[in-house]
Amino acid sequence: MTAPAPFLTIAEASRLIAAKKLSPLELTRALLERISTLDPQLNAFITVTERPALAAARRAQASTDKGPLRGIPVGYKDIYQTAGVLTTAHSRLLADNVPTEDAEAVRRLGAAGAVMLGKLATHEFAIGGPAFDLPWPPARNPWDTRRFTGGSSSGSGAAVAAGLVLGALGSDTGGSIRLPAAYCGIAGLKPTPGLVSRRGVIPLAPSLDTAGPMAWTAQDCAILLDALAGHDPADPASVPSPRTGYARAIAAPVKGLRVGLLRRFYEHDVPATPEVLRMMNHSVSVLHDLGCRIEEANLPPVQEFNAVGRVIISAEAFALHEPMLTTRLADYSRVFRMRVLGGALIRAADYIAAQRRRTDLIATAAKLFERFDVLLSVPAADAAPVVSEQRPDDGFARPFLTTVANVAALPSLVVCGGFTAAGLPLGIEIIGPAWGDQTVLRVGHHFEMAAGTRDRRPEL
Amino acid sequence: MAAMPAKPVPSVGPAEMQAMVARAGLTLNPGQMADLVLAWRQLAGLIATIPRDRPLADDQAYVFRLPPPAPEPQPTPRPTRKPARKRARTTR
Repeated sequence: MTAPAPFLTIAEASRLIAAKKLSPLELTRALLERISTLDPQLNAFITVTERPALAAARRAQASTDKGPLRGIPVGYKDIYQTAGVLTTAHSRLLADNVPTEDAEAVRRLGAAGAVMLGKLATHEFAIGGPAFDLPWPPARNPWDTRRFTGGSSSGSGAAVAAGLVLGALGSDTGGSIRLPAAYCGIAGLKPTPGLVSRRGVIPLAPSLDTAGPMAWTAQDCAILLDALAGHDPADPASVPSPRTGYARAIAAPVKGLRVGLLRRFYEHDVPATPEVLRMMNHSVSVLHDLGCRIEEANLPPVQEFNAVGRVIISAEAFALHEPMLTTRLADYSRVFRMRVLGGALIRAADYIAAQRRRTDLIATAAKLFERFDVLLSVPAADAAPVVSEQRPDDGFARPFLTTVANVAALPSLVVCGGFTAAGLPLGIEIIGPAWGDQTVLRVGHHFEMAAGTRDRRPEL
Repeated sequence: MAAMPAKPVPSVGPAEMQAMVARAGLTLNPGQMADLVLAWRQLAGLIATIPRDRPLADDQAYVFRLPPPAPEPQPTPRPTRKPARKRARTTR
């Protein structure tokens, strides 16, 4: 057996395990050792499940299953319920919460042979962060530990980028998979709503919440999605959809695909830095060289999507947390309170107006896909900021580019598009039509191969 | 029905804010109240930008989607006996 390299992708590790050149047990041991060494500076983990992980790795080693996730070490954002394992949502309120059942997504990855290494940091209840007044510190960016990981799937982004796990689960209500993917230089997919079950995932705003995979490459996200996708009658938003071989389908060429460039989003609505603009110009030329046909596309301003998203999130999050906010207010972080308490003052008419406007925006975006196969934008206007400079009112004062895909109910993938001069990763965002998850993964995969951004890893 | 344009959300003064917070069952200290005032100012600004110009009749789009009804159970058909094949009469 070869010694496990710290930076294997899921696809690479899977091939080595299948060829008996890598043992799941040795891989798990190596990553647990890496977590023990590196996590004190990253704070990516809230709980490391060493003994159950070693037991699961032994089972994977003995198994004859030939699935691509057999023996693959993963981590779960700490809002995914895990039977017998602490699930805190990064909050003092759930500091002793040990569920009795796995979330459906956790169950599916476990059934596919994945090995859980632990539970990953988040923003408090997937919104209140980065916060410094909680029992666990915020996760740090492996590319520069002074910097923000993005959130709220902060630990998932950090753990994948640092090579502590090969894949992770995140959740995305306004950009919480894709912002950490961008800032940490990995791939993250917000699937079409209804494709991946949210049963057992602690909700933030149920009409916008999605669960999805995060990994080093788009191909790895596709491998994870193959195990995750599928109807779950216990999630009322789950949709019976045809089974697609996502990992197999990404190899198909992208020549001739019509790419709509949402240039106004990042040049005007939320102006990007010169480095992001240069990266986007280069990314467009990479897709052009792959044979994609690129034209400018337009949607209503980012601010409109953001306003609708923020009103829905505030109202629904307050409604969910009202019983605890009225009895244990001081146990929440200041950031959580600032982002959610305003929901107490939203009138029903304003919430309904936001939902009605959302149906218009969904229809407008869907119509654009009559002309385009995918849309291209950026998930963030700059590289990762310094974590201590994050404002508690972010998302209100500065709109999130990523919220467009949540409000429009579209699948959206972020992959690494390049790096700043200081070596910080920059992401591109590929948005598809509803149920076009396979297409966005395919474009992301070919882009990564052509752009060559996957060979560079953070130095820790 | 005429369409309704976006309109500013009614401003909330400190006394009214206190009353709304109390009505929501919250007890805030002065620092928490100051944070809420700041957050609400921004949230109210976002609410004011949401257009309300959809025709009233379009509200039918805002409904729950129920699963299609299950097909009615059909009575099980009784097994039919094959009619006895008539034997050709033979006359001798």
